[in-house]
Amino acid sequence: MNEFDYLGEGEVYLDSACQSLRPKCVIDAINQYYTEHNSCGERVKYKWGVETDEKVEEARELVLKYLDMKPKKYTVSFTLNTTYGINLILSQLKADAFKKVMTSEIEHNSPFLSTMAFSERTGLPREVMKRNEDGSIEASAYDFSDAVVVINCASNFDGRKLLNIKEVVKAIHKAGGIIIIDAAQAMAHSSEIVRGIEADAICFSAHKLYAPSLGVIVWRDELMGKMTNGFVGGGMVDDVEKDSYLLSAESKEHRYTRFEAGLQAWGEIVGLGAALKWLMKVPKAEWKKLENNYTELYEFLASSSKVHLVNREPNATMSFYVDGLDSHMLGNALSRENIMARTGYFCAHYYLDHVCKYPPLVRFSLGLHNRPEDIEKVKKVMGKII
Amino acid sequence: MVCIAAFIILAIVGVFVAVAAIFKPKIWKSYTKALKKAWGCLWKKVRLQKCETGFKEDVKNSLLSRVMLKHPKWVKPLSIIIEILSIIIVVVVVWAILTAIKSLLALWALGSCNVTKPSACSLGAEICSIDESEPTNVFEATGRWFTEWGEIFEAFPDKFRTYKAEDYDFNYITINPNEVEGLPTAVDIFDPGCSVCMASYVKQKKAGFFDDYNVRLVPFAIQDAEGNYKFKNSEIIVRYMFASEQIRSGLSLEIIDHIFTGENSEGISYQTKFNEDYTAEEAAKKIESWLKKAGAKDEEIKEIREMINYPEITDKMSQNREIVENQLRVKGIPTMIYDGGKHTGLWEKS
Ligand SMILES: Cc1ncc(COP(=O)(O)O)c(C=O)c1O
Repeated sequence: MNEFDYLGEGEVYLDSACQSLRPKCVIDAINQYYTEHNSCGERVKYKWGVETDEKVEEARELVLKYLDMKPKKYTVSFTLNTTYGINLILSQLKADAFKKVMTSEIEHNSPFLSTMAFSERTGLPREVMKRNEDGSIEASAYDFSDAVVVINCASNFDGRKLLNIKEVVKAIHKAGGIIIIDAAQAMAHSSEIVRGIEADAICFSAHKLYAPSLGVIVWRDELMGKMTNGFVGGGMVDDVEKDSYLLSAESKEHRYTRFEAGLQAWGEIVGLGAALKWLMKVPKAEWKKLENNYTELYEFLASSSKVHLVNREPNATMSFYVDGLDSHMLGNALSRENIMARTGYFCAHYYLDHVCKYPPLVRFSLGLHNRPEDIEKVKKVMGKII
Repeated sequence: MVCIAAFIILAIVGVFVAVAAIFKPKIWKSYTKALKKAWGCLWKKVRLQKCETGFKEDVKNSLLSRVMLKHPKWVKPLSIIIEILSIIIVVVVVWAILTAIKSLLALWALGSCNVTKPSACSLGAEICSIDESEPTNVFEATGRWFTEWGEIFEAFPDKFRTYKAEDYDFNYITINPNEVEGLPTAVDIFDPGCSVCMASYVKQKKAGFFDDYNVRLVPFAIQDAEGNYKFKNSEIIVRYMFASEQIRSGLSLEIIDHIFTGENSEGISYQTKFNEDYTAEEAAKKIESWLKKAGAKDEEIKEIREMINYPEITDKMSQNREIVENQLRVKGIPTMIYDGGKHTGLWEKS
């Protein structure tokens, strides 16, 4: 894809689950912000600032459009990353509005630890739900009454999805609970799983979405009433008295400020807008190519008796270990051949290490930038090693 | 030997690091980074926490990942070899560091870097060492390694205390037959066969040490753990000294003065003759001839000859040995006690 033609020959980047490569149009948009309209967003009136504001507003709209969510009900706020998003919400939720906090066993440390911290802060019990092998949750097996549920809709080690997400969200809402969805892994390649889902909040990282490093919180307006003010500052108020302030977020127009204390990463937000525009126009053939690439690699790995895949089915993200080979060493060897892949437990220690008792793993996570030659090369190098 | 090996190993590591630090600051930086990481990982492991990749894994990965691409089959055996090597390196380095520390502590506390065999320590003062028996097998050696630490720590307080010559109940010989009042007392433990003792004696005599102090000479025949004498005729000399002193005060000084300062007609010092040449009988004869010259009558010499085998003399010698080895924990002689301190090694005028 010529948006990634800056990639050198033989350079194979397989860590999109951590951070995608950025298409040139995104890099250009950021450059343009820095060189043509560098300015503080949402508070200045001069020309450059107006341009920035337009692009930031457009980015918020694009997020909702991409997720197929209604602007009337939802607000888009920016932060640092998924982890910050989840923590910003959890750390400000009123303890007395809930009875427990729930998460699932396959989570990234981002929800896994923040729910622990929430439980410690509020004294509410924490429950870790099981996930079926296909990623779904036995909704009827759990009591969601007044629960704060924080779960992913796509895993970061094998891409398994929360297949019955609609059922789960419904069950939670019916029981008076709220659900925060960690969509970090879903947004780039499986966004269909969260599109239009009426979650109370969806957190994701723009950097896993071909966009610059940025966190996004898409949240339902009702959440306002369930929060105390725990992280406040510049850019958030309409009025301030000696001992009180009036949050701008009280009005729908500026609701996004509720999570945006201080100046934001305007250039990155502009870049996100560009990434979403590009992503929404990626031709079908490119998606097909991605699917072919990961399917081919998956099948290659699955065909070796020495390779143990965590995945049950092909996905752009796949994790595995090889009998008798240390994964970190394997990662190191691949790197010598210009193949960039992650090794270890990918911040899902609890599940991969303690529940499944896997040795450290290797993760290949593909993206739209990958070329068929990349797959050929990986197969060749891996074939030599295993 | 052991402590030298330890120092050599540490020196090699030290030089390596220093050279890296000077010529390749970048390498030095990555070494310190690696070291910090290794330390962090070790600290976690000590507390039974997890450490995903430590220093060893990093090194192993970077070495073997090359091999993995060219000769995947070699990875496993090489990995095992690296594991074994890393254990050996850790053990050797830890051992080297501990041994070096121990040697330095021993040198400071006991005056010799080798606790069991002071003669093996080239770093200590020049002495005639009082060696213990050396361990004969690994278990003994390991046990000894630990007891030596105990000995070193036990000796620590000695470094900070004052010694008084009068506090030790030695069987001694006075240089000034009637101790001069007002002069400080000094104890001088020596072995007639020990060349350092001889050199000290000569220096002390020349410098007037014997006039400035009431010196109590403690003749001491160094023995090893099995009871063998370090210098073959020292026992007989010491016995003669104690016996003759009982006949007439000052008589024994003639013996030691001859041995330490005299030489035969060929210009060979008597100490050398006694140590290397004379049989016990010849030694006795020589001593008796000196006694005669000093005015001892034939009956007196005969009496002395009988007395040397009295249990009383043997007792005196073993009492002295007890004080030297167990109370003073002296690792070598000459050892002198004067001016509140204990001084081991060649005497130097202060
Ligand atoms: C499923 C999932 N959740 C959360 C995160 C945390 O993302 P970030 O590090 O951008 O906060 C990741 C990152 O890998 C992830 O894969």
